[in-house]
Formats: sequence, C-alpha cells, structure tokens
Amino acid sequence: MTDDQALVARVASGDMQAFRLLIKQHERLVSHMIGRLIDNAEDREELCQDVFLKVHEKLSEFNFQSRLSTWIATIAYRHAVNHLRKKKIKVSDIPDEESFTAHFISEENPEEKLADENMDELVMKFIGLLPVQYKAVLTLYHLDGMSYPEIGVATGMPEGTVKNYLFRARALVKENVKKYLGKEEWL
Amino acid sequence: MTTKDEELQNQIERNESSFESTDAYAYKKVFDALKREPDFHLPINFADRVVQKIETKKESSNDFVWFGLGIFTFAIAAVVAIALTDFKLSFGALKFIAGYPGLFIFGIGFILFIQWIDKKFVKPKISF
Repeated sequence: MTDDQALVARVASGDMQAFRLLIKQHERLVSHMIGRLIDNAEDREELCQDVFLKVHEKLSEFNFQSRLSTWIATIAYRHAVNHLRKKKIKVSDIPDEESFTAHFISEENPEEKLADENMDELVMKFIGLLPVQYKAVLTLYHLDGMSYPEIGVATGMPEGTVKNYLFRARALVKENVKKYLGKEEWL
Repeated sequence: MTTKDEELQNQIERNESSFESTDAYAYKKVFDALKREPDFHLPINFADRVVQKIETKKESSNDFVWFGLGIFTFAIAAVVAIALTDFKLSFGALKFIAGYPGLFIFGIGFILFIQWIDKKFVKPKISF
C-alpha cells in the first residue's frame, strides 16, 4: 500500500487528523493553481476551501488511476474555470495563433512601463495576461513539477496540446520581454 | 515562434544555454519568473478552517435527519390519534369559497404579484 493509499484509507474511515495532513501536503498545489488563475484576492481562499471540501466529499470515489496530487489538481483547475465562467470571464476559447500573438505582443511604450516596474514584475504581468489554459499548464509544469501526461489528466487536454500550449505560452511572453530588454539596459 | 524557439526552450530547461542572444536571455527571464511562487499564500490555520467547515456541515446534516424523524413521528402519531378517536375532518368553513371561484383565483394571483414586486424591486435595494 502506497502512502497515498494509506492516507486516503484513513480519511475515508473518518480520521480528520489524516485529512488535515492531506491538506497540508497539497495546499501549495491548490494555492498555486488558484493564485495564478484567479485575480480577485477575496475569492482565492474561499475557492481553496471549496476545493478541499470537494476533495473530502469525493475521496471515496478516487480510484488511484492517477496520483492523488494529479486528481486534486484536476478539482482545483475545474473549480477555478467554473468560478471564472460564473464571473463571466471568457475561458473557453484559445484565440487563433496569429491574431492572438499580434494582440498579446503589445505596442505600449517600453520606457514608460519600465519606469514603474522592474523586469520580474513585468514578466509576471505578461504571464497574468495569458489565457487561463496557458496559465494552468505553465503553473503545473514549472511550479508543481508535473509531467506532460499528468498535466493532460489534470486539465483534460491531450498530451500534444499540453506541449503546444507550454511552448506557445513561453514564446509569447518571451516576445514581449524581448521588447523591454534593451530598454532595461538604458535605464 | 519557430523551431529555433523550441530548441532554445529545450536548452534552457537542460541548463545548456549561454544566454548570448537576446532571445536566450529573454527566455531566461521568463523561466526564472515562472518558478516564482504567486503572491497568494494560505493562512497557517487553513487546514483547521477546512476541517471545521466539514464538521459544521456534518452537524447541520444531522439536524436535518432529526427534523425528518420528528416530522415522521408526528405523522404517525396523527394517524394513530385519528384512528383511535374516530375524528371526522370537516371543510365547512371552506365550502363558502366554492361559490366564488373568481375571488379564489384573484387571491392567489394577487399574492403571486406581490411576491414578484417584492423580489424584483424591493429586495435588490436592501443592503445588509
């Protein structure tokens, strides 16, 4: 029996101390997903709570087809997407490559922006402007160290799409960053 | 966004890039930022709060079960009482309204109208 299986069995038998441990083990994963996908600070903690309430409710149905962390990431991703839909924030479509690239790589004046923000903050801002699906894939890969198949399971995307989104998202942000790099050296 | 980009991304992931080109340097900035934790952190007692919510939920579902049991027992007691006392139900007071169906329909319609007005115009303006 793996650690995950032992933990799930304890929680299923009503051991709340075991559930506390499960939360401690996975709260970073959930907070990464919610923190990156949801902008409204007031909604974030409540959403994280809702994710773990759902985990507790559905844990008896978890069949170990994936790792426990992947299953929890799936619930966190769906909760975030449903929340955005409720708030009427468009999440369903990834715009076609050319029009989105042109829109994303902005025409704003680099000097003006860099006067107020350092490069790291600017990069984070560009990441924040990406579509939800891109942000989810980037978060699971870079912050939570998940593999392509695991991200596929967590987000319901085919593995090829995961790779494509990961590559495109990084390239889009890089194009914007490149515009500001020369200017950073001047300031 | 080309195969050159793809190769650069792979090199940076493998720590093989020398960051000599602007593209490589820009990618380094992006990869560094992607490893940064979001500003959002959960409180230290987060697990306790979730567990408390689950326990409160359990208690309220227990209350619901007791309420259901109470209603069921009351219904059984009523049936037994009616059977033992040979009680006859009389609708004498309601027979009067049978002669005025229009009044009955108007009454129901009026109550529904008042409810709709309340929901549409009054409740949205109440702030707590």
